Formats: sequence, structure tokens, C-alpha cells
Amino acid sequence: MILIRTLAIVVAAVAGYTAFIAVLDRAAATLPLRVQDRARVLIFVGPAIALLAIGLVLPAIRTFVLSFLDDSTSTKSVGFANYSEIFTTEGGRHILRNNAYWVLIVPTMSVIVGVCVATLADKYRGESIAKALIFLPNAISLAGAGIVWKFVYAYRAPDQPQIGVLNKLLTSVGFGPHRFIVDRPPNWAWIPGLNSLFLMFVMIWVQAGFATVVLSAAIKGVPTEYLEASRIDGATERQVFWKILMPSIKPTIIVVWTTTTIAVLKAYDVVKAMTGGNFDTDVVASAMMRQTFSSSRPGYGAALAVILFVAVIPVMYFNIRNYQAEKAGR
Amino acid sequence: MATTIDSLPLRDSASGPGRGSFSASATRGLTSWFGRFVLIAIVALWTVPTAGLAISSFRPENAIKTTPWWDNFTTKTIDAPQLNKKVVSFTVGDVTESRNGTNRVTLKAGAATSVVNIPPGTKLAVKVGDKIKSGQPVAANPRFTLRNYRDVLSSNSNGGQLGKYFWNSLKITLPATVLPILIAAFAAYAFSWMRFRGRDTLFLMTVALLVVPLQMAFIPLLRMINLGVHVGDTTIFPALTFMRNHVSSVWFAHTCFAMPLAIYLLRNFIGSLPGELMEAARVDGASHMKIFLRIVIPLSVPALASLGIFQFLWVWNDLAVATVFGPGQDVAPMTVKLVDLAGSKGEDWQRLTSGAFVTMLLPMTVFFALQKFFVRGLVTGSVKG
Repeated sequence: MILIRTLAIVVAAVAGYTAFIAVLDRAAATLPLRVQDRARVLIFVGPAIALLAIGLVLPAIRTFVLSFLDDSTSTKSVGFANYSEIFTTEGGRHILRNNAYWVLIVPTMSVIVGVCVATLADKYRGESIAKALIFLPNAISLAGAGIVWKFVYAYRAPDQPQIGVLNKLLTSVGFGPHRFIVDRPPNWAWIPGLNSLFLMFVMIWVQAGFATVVLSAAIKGVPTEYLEASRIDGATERQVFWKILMPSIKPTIIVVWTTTTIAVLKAYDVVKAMTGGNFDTDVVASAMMRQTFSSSRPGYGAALAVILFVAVIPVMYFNIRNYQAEKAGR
Repeated sequence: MATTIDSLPLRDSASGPGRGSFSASATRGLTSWFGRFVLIAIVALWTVPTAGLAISSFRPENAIKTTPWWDNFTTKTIDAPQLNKKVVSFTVGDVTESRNGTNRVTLKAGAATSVVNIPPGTKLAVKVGDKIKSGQPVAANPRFTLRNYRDVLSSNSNGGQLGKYFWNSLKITLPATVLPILIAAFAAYAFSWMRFRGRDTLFLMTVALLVVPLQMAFIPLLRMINLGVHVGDTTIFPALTFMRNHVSSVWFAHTCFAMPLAIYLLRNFIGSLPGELMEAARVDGASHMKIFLRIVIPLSVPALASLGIFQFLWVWNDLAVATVFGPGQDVAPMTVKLVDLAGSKGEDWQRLTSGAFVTMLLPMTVFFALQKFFVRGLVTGSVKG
């Protein structure tokens, strides 16, 4: 019933929108020739631009302004107080540091796993199955992936049978069970950042499939003659890999790396689903949501959002420069 | 998900002879057995967690909470013991179930008794009063159940109510997939085949918006929907009261947020269609509207479908947008409910496992059914068909 109603809404919306544009287009035909073409452009592009303005541009500007205002009334300017709170308090710096680790570790590891699988599986029997299985985590939600791994990390007191795979492995080789992702300081095994590292692994698990599929396509695009020629000249397989294959797929590696970095910067779901940002695992995106909606600190939250935006820019710049260099090299 | 589409080519590339094989010859190397081992290890690491979750979701509550899921495969039958190394006939005395789900079965042979512990997850093979001999099974075969699913989907107040949220997800996802693609397609056509001043600048600005984190738009957009925009006493933009706490606010947000990527990808595709086709149609007097509907849309079906699959997965799997724009019970999708279950009932593994699996079901089906369709462009040459 809901399905039928939803489908009806979709059909009605598509037909309605198309008809609306068609009617406007017909109306444009009655305008003087001078403005006809301009009116048509407006009809085709206008709605998309309006949505972008209302949904992204204006809100982003407003958030930028908000980050300089106070939390309770959002009218009084506080200067850079929200930013300085993030950069000078231990809580804020901790969040930034965590996020920096995420950005360094997750994309790098995803690319490494992607290159490994793409080269190792290449031309093997079962290549497509292997790649499909590794890509699968990419199709499920990050929240779902969080639950999957929460179960892998599950902890039971030492005197009980372990139900999580990892703790079962730990205890079966003689170690005590570890409180993965929910470890707290008064504990001999506590290492700062370890909880976050186990959360990052979930993100690597999700992102590696994307890296694999794209890098695999890139490797298949490298002409065999290059590889064969270098082999005939006496290159070892290791040399073929590092001197021929890797340079050939470098542009793709950079694309995958930057795309993953941007995905990681916005990562909120994994943290939210697995620890809720507790146990020292908060990142900027999750802290932003909590500060804004639970702690009613819109100014502080907005400042965190602006920091995310500023962090994306160099990554994007690097990507564009790489793209231009590649274009120029052709 | 959304960002990943960025670099997925929508057209087939890199096929044909002379391309391909790096490791075909690498297999000659000494490292091949090691490579294969690493590959299998990675595939296992990438598969086992999901498999464990899927298997667990079919195990009874007390079994999930007390024994690991692979016990369902390693636990063999539990046989009646011998007494003093002799085969004895037993009568089954009482069967008690302890708090953590372990059954204790008392077997009587004359004056002697023997107590057998039956771990949760195994099914009793005997009833009180049965007669069995040493070596015959007291409990056997792993036990699976659909009860977790009934519980997590049930709509009564103690249940997980995920059934309702499933429909919420669908109600959000279908329109939020189709609408942005439709609106973006018109714009992409204009950016490709209509001539106007500032076209390329406008297009570049649109693409540049890809870098704006959605987090930057959440609060002001929500306020705009709920309160409108006012400068002093003048209303610039009225409050969209009909959207307040209604699913349409989630559609609206997703439609806005999808624009940059959808326009970018569709323009890449539509712009690469043969220009002669458009020219010929123009010469025949066809309007832009006609060319768009009759020529461009039919030719763009592969690109529209690819984008549709990704947008579908992105919206279905989204948590952040839904958390901000559709928090109410009538609007929230499954991801929100799942995270809620994980937070408030972190140890209710019977619900978390089955619930997580319910949310994954549709994306996994879409992925496996349409895999060829959207990965084809990437893996041409290795996937036949």
C-alpha cells in the first residue's frame, strides 16, 4: 500500500515536473524572439540553480556567519571565540587530532588494500567474486557496517565465553579479552587512540571495495606491451610493479585517495553507530552534530562545520592540480 | 557513497586486445602462492564479519548472548555418557533451563545419575521420561529461528518496529532518488547543448559546490524550512510549514544536496553525445524541449540508471540527513532506528543483528542484481557478459 502510494507520488512528481517545464517552454515561445532563448535557459537550469542556492549556498553562508555568533541567541557576535575554543581546549584539540588520524590512515589503508586486491586478484579464477565480496560493504549503510563490527568487537568478562570473533581469538591464544572501541583509561592495556583506530578499520573495510574496483579497472587499462617489454629487458616482477605499473596508475590512485579523504572527513555514521562519540572517539562531523542538536550550541557546531569545509579545500585543490597535470601530460 | 561516484566512468572503457593482465605473468613468480594467501585472507576478513552477523541473526536470543556464532557449526551432538565405562540405559529425569540459557538434563540409571549440560544454541533431542542409551544424542543440531526477525519487525510497542521504518525508508528513498536526477537532467542538458553567457562559469560553480560538507547546510536549511527567512519584519522566504516534520522535508534536503554531483555526472554524459544528432534535430526544427525528451533522455538511460542506483544507495544508507530533517517517528528511516537501538539497547544483540540485516537486505539485493550494470564500466574485460 505504501509502496503503491510512494510510486504514485514518484510518477505524479515526474509527470508533473515535466509537464510544468513543458508548459513554461510553450509559454516562452510566445515571448519576443530576443528573450526567448534566455527564457528557455532559465526554464531548464533555473530550478536546479534555485535548489542549489536554497539548499547549499545560502545555508553555507549562514553557517559561516553563525560560527561567529553566540550560542544562546545567535545574534551577538563573539568574534573568533568559537574557533579559539576548538583550537585551545583539550576537548576540541582532541577532536581535531582524531580527525587528522582518520584522514591520514583511512584513505592510505584503503588504497593499499585496493592495490593489493586488484593486483593479486587480476586474472585469477574467481576474480569477479573476490572483488564483489570486497565491494559489498560499500553497498550497505555505514550504520549497518558499524553494527557488523560492533559484533566482531563484542566483549564479555574473562570468566564468560566470548561471543565476538576478535576476543575469541585473543582468549584462545592466551590473552585476556580486550574492550575494543569502548576501552577506558584505568586499564593496563589502554593506549590512547586505540579505540579510534578500531573505528577507522570499519571505514577502511567500507572504502576498500571502492578503491579495489576503480584501481582494478586502471590496472587493466595499462597496456600489456609496457609490462612485457620491461620483462623482456630483464626487469624483475618487483621492478615491473614499482617502476611500470604503479606510475601508470598513479593518477587513479590520487583520485581514489582524495575521494576517500572527502568521504572520511564527513564520516559521522560510523562513530555515531558504534560509540556515539564516547570513549575518546569523537571526530569533527560527529561532534558537530552533537554540539548543535544535543548540546544546543549552534555557534560552536557551525565553527566545526566551517573547519570541515576548510579542510576539504586543499584536498580538492590537490585533486584538481593532479587532474590538470595529467591532462597536460597527454 | 555519493562522493564515490565522482570517478566512476559511466561508459565502458579500456577494453579490447592489448589491455589487461599484469599478474598473468606474475603468477610465474615465486610470490604467487603468497599472493594468493594474502588475497584469501583479505577476502575472508571482508566477508566473515557480515556472515557472522547474518548467521547470528537467526540464532535464539540466549544463544547469541552467550555463545559465539560459529558454535552452530562446531557444536556436534551431545551424547549420553557412559557410567564406569559401560553402556547404560538412562531415563531422562528433569530438564532445567538456567538464566543464561544453558539446559541441564539429568539422566537416571537406577540409583546413579548423570547431569549433562546443554549449551544454548543446541536443540534438545529428548523429553522427560524418554529412555536412551549411552552414546545416543541428548542434544543435537544447531538451532535456528526466525523469532528475532518477527520481534524486530513487529509493530507492537515492545518490538523493534523496524517494519514501519522500512516503509519510511522506502517512502524517503524513491522520490529522493528520482526527483534530483530529473531536475539535474534538464540542467545538464542546458549546460551541454544550450548556448548562453556564463554557461561554463555557472557549471564550474555548481561542481565546486561538491566540496561543501552537508554539515554546513543542515542547521540553516532546517531553520529555513521551519521558520522561513526574515530580515527585520519583511519575510523574504516563507516558512514551509507543510514540510515541517513531514517526509517532504527529507526529500527536499536530499534533492538539494544531490544537485552538484548529479549535474556534474549527467553533463559529462549528455555532453559527450554526438553533436551532429542535435544539429540535425535543430535543422529539422525540433525545439530544445523535444530534443531533450525524444533524443537525449532515451540515449542517456545507462547514465541515468547508474546515477539512480548510486543515489538510491546513498539515500537508503544515509543517517545524517535523516537525523536532521526527519527525526519524528513517522518520518525517520531504518538507519535512524538502528542507531537508536544500538545506543539504547547496545546488548540486545538479537535485535541488532536481525535489524542490521534487514537494513542491508535491499542494498545487497540491488548490488548483486545490478552489479554488472554499474560495475561493468569499471571492470570491463574481467567480467564476461
